[in-house]
Amino acid sequence: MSTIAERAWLPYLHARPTAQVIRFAPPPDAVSAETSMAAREPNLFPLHEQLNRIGLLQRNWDGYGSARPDQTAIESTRQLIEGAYRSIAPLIGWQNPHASASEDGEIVLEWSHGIKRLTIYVGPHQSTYVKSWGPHLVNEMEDGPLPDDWVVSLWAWLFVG
Amino acid sequence: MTLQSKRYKSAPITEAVIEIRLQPPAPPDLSTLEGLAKSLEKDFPKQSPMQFVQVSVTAPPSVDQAPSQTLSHAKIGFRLAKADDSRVLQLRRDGLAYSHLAPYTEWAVFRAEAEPLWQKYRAAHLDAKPTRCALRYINQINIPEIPAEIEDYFALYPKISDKLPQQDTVAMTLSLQMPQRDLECMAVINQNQVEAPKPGHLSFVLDVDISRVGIENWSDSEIWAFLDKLRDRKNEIFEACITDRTRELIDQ
Repeated sequence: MSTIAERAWLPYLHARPTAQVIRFAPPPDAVSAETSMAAREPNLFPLHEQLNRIGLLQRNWDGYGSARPDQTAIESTRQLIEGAYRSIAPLIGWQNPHASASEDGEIVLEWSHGIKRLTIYVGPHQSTYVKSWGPHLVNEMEDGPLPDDWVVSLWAWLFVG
Repeated sequence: MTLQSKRYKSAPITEAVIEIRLQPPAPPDLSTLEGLAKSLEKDFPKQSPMQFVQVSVTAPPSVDQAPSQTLSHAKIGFRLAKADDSRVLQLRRDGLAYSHLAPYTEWAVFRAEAEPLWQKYRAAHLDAKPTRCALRYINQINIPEIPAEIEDYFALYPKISDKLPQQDTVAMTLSLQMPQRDLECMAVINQNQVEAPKPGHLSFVLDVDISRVGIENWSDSEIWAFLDKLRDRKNEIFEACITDRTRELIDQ
């Protein structure tokens, strides 16, 4: 039987029909394998689900008086990530960030690669970043407003070099 | 009722996209798109610029040196969304994409909303020729049992050789590019296992994108008539990829 479980358990025991591959070459002029640009890419579904969960949090969600996550910031986060994914994924691949909320109601996105770490705080009106490449708080850390070209200047820094 | 016209009570469509591309203007001009976006502000109050990363590769001065890569970003258009996020409109230099997010209504509604938006976009780009038209339907099917027999729910699934020393996988991704000869177009079918939105469920994405290029001499009416055909083909493909067990799930 072909069972699939939480860890994708797929023991196929019976012969299955196979695909007939008709060529391995660029398709003819009238067809293209390029996909259309969706508003929410399926590879980002887990992140959107996490943002949905964050959006349901109420004030004092952590028991320490934290603000309710800002709904505008959640929408801005969705757009920020969709734009970055479309730009980066076809070129150098993609890694979904860890998403959470800050005590001020911002959305916090975190990526790490080796000792490098990038954290983006998405607020309703402004977004900021912190990047670090070691434990020293002064010499190995930089922060500031999130630049327009952050995908190039920050995310690619993290994963490309 | 034929299979391709079946309407389900809980259609698993998370997003439907109509995309029509044009030859982008040279040099790039975003002011036209900005004006168009502004004219649609009442219906689409959420607006933000869309950016794209470009890679430039510079040839090395000598053969023993590696080529250098430069990343840069460029604005390609604007992303507009309704206040409730039910619809998203991408106004790009190279065309328009209109997305109907969940809950899906029906093709007639979706098409009727998209066509006037296209006409406005087209009016602002009268000299540009259309290059590609496409329909993409992204479905997320949640199976309420773990473990499950995948062939109980899908007629399309990967075959894993029983000779492989281990049968376990930690993710499933299937991607097919299938020319549709009768329509002279391409269907790209992607099927992935994704994180389930609810505990005790398995979740799969069935993503069907059908597109046609080489439409430079088509009129608008020809494009929209063809999109109707693509919609029928999309339904045929979807029905061919699922089983009755899934039909029961999405018709409750």
